[in-house]
Amino acid sequence: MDRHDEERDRVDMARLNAGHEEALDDLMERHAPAVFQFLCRMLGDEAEAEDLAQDTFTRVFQYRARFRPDAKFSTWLYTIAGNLARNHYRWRSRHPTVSLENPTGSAQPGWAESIPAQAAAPDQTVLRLERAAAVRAAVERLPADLREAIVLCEWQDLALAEAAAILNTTAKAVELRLYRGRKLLREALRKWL
Amino acid sequence: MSEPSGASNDSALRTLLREARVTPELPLRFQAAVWRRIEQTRAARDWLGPIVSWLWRPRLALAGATALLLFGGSLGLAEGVRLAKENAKERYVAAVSPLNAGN
Repeated sequence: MDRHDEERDRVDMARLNAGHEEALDDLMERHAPAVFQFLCRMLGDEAEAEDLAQDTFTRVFQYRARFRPDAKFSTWLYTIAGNLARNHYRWRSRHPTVSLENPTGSAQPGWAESIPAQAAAPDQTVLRLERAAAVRAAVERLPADLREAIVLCEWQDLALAEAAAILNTTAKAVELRLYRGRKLLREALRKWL
Repeated sequence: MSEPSGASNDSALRTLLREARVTPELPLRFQAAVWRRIEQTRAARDWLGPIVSWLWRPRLALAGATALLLFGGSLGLAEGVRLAKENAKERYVAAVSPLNAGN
């Protein structure tokens, strides 16, 4: 995201605060896909991610007056989404469920199709899907703080500084979480490395 | 057992992570769903708002706190009287019991 986009976000937030509600549509147009993907990657469940993504933008509207014009909108947005995801993990840990379709509780079967397809033999494709599912399951099993760092930096391609701002910590702390997360992933995925 | 070299292992892990990254499409009518939620929140606030603000008025809040204190106090008093009666009964039974006559 470049400076021009950041400026457009600021203008849209100012419009929203001034009562132009259609500005929220413009913000959703630009940011909803990324927020939805972030939540899918964090939660491993599309329905839950959609619910929380909708909640994220509802909160943007509700708390629009709290947005500081000197702040970066996407950072504020990811912070809201991240907090909702964290609350959701806590809720989930108190109400564990097992899906009938997907008893392992790992990434949804439908997601296999979203992995970039490469012309490959069927057995290679199966292997690739199996490997991808194992990676997603390993990421899901990481402690919440390490998973957040991995998802933000590896899957959302955010810089350390931005991830640190979202997680309300320092870049050094994010680096440490990434290090610990990668170490756990390497152990969990030894078979595939 | 020796660990594989850190850098190559790191890049292999990164490749695995890239391959496993999902990019699902935003569901259709997402924005409409958000606006529906906002309307629901607004409707709830319109309905609850006056009640909450009425309850938060200082005079009413003070009256509520006083009523709670009085209720708690009277419950405590009733429980205290009941316990005192029970204790007195036990003491009386112990005093007139023939089993205790020798003591």
